[in-house]
Amino acid sequence: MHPSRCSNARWRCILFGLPGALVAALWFAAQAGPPRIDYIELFRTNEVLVHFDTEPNLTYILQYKNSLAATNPWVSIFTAFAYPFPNHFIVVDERTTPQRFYRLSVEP
Amino acid sequence: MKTILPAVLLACSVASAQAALYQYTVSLSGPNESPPVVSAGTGFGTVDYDDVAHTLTMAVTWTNLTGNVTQSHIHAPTVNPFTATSGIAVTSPSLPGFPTGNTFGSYAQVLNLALTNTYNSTFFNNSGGGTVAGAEAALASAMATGRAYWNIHSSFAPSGEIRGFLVAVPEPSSLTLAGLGLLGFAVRGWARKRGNKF
Repeated sequence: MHPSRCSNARWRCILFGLPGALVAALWFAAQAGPPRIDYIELFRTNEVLVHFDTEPNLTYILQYKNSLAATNPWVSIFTAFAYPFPNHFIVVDERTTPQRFYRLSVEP
Repeated sequence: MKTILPAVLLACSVASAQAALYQYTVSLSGPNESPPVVSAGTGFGTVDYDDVAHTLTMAVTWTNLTGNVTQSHIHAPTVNPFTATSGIAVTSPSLPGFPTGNTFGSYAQVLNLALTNTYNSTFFNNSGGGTVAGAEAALASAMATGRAYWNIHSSFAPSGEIRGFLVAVPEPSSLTLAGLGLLGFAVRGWARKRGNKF
């Protein structure tokens, strides 16, 4: 809505503006998408490469655990801090066990 | 000779306008990363884009990295020229055959830009509109406008230890052809002065 129209009917503008802002927020959230590990590959004799893309202004945390048992905690291995532009990260992890599970979380 | 000389000049100008090879150089370093990386690593490379053969001829050497090389790509497009970062344009998960596990090395490769799998899927769909032609055009535009960079990732720096933006170099063939054209005019003028008719 045009600013001049807002000044003439402020409350109506706010009422109509809030859904607009909500839609915009949802649209931006949909654009960013959930955090996703793009690719995991074996590297050299005892290492693994974990690839992931990052969106602007969000902090990403890469974690692992060797068993999916609930008692086994997730361990953080890398944090990609928020920057105002997208990027691509490749994290090296050592293979010390026969299997390992990874997850990527994002924080505003 | 009277009819040949204008024809040669015209051919030179037409060939110059239809240049097919776009050449770029790239200087890679840690401070060029965004944010800057403290690294003694450096590198230098060339990238030649042929818009008729649809190829990208790439060569690079690097040395003194702090970590071991994990992967390498060309990233594009950044929002503004020569600053910030972007996702991978080519090739995911890495440039084909790029040597890893060392702090120094060299690499040369010719990429076929007419193949879908040359491009990272996100770049292909978002920047290229889901077509090979679109992806090639988007990559060509990014390179020409200073919004593409060559990045070498390492175990020391997961988002890249050294990188450099592609910088266009003057097209030698155009310069040569333009020089030949000027030479032709000079010869014609010299001949007229001497009274010869060309």
